[in-house]
Amino acid sequence: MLNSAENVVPLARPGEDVDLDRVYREHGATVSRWVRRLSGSSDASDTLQEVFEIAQRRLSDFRGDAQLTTWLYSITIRVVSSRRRKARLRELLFLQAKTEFELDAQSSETPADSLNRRQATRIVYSVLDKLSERDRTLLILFELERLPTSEIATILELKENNVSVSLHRARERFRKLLRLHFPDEAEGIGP
Amino acid sequence: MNKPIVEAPERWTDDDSASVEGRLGELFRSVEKPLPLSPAALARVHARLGSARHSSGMRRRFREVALACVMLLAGSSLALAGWGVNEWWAGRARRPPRVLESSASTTGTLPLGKRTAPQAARQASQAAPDEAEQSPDIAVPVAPRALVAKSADHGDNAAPADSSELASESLALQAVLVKLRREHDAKGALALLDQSQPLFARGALAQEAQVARVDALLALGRQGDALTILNHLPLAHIGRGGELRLLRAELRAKQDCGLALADFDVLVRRPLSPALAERALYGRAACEVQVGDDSNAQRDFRDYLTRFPQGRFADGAQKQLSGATGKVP
Repeated sequence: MLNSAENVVPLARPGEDVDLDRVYREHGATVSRWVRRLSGSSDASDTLQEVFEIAQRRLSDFRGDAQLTTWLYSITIRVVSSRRRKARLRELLFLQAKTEFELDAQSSETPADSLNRRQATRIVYSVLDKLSERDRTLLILFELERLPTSEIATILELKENNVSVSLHRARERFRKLLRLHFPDEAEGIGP
Repeated sequence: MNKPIVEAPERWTDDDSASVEGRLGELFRSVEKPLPLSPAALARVHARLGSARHSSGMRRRFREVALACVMLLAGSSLALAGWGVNEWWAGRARRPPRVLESSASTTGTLPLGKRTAPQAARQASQAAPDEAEQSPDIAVPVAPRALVAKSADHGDNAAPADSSELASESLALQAVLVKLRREHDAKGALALLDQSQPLFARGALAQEAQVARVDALLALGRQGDALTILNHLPLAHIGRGGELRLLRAELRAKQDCGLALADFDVLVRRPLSPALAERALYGRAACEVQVGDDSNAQRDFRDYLTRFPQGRFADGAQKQLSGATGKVP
């Protein structure tokens, strides 16, 4: 979560040098978890590397007036979106199968519970993937990452009011698509 | 005037009531919570970042040189193409009308007249000696293109019937897989499978079609139907046999752990990818607890922790070992 104690302390003040190694040591693991959450895939190494390569190129532009985590989050979202666009293009051009949704999550459940969890993950991400990139990101940040709308507004460079309106619409679209593609799951979920 | 502030919606994940929102909340709450990369994987990425930084200067220089080469090549190609077009145009302008007439006749669109082929060739060589040298048979009449195309078509149609059946079957299966994996439309994929059922019934890809059906049923949450098909598939002879057997074992474990253990036993003995192997080993241990085989369960949990200390089920295995008397929840 972004609003944990360690994240509210900005890493550097304006003009102060920021060391990428330190940024990676402190935030690499968290960013890798974001990558998995946003992409819906357990394969995160290459995306993580790209996020930090971009962060390194833009460190000099980081003004320190936003939280570093917020800045890293926005880079992560852009990198994941761009990779998803490229993957979609590859799928279309070469009829490649999409990677299955799996988040490499920790679990201490029975095989049956674990299967149900994977099933829920597959359903939710399948429907999320049918939404626009913006709706998808909004729902992931709000429902799965449980970020406050103010934080989402900062990350996506939107107004908070706009985030709220978009969230209402995104949730409605999610509901419709769930009913359309997974009628059994959506049973009882009214219009 | 300030715009009215729209309230953010209540999170589905906060709603555990029996309402519609609560059901959606339950679905979202069930989504797996991703772990960060393992320390070893993070260290590997860190090392790659370090080497990328060291080589970034060299890469930039290489990129500049490569860009210069590409531009040079593109410029040369353009110049060459321009020269070629000029030459071709000049050649056309130099070519006398008789030659045009003669070569047009080769397509069968214009009559050759009274000239015989050797005469026309000779005339052509007088008018444009280079061209005649390159194409000595310039005036020899050839079959019209439409005729050639027709005979080629005829050849295609004459292909053996069973290969065309295989082609239609594989096209149908491809459509199913696109629906399932690219469009994530499991319902549509099932409909396509039903439509093509006569094609697949005795076809070469019948088993692959059944596997696609299992995937679609699982995506729709119809685990019972998927299990019924899996129970009748010869898993030993299918490409994704290991993965499908694991799915069958996990589905069977929901109803009868004794039956599931037979599959888990086969899987644990087989070489599998780490992701499947850890599910198989943990699944067997959990089922052994269910059937009261505590000594083997403990051995498997210990084995699991040795092989997958950071695994997805490490917490569960640890819990089982520390409270060895308890049952799997």
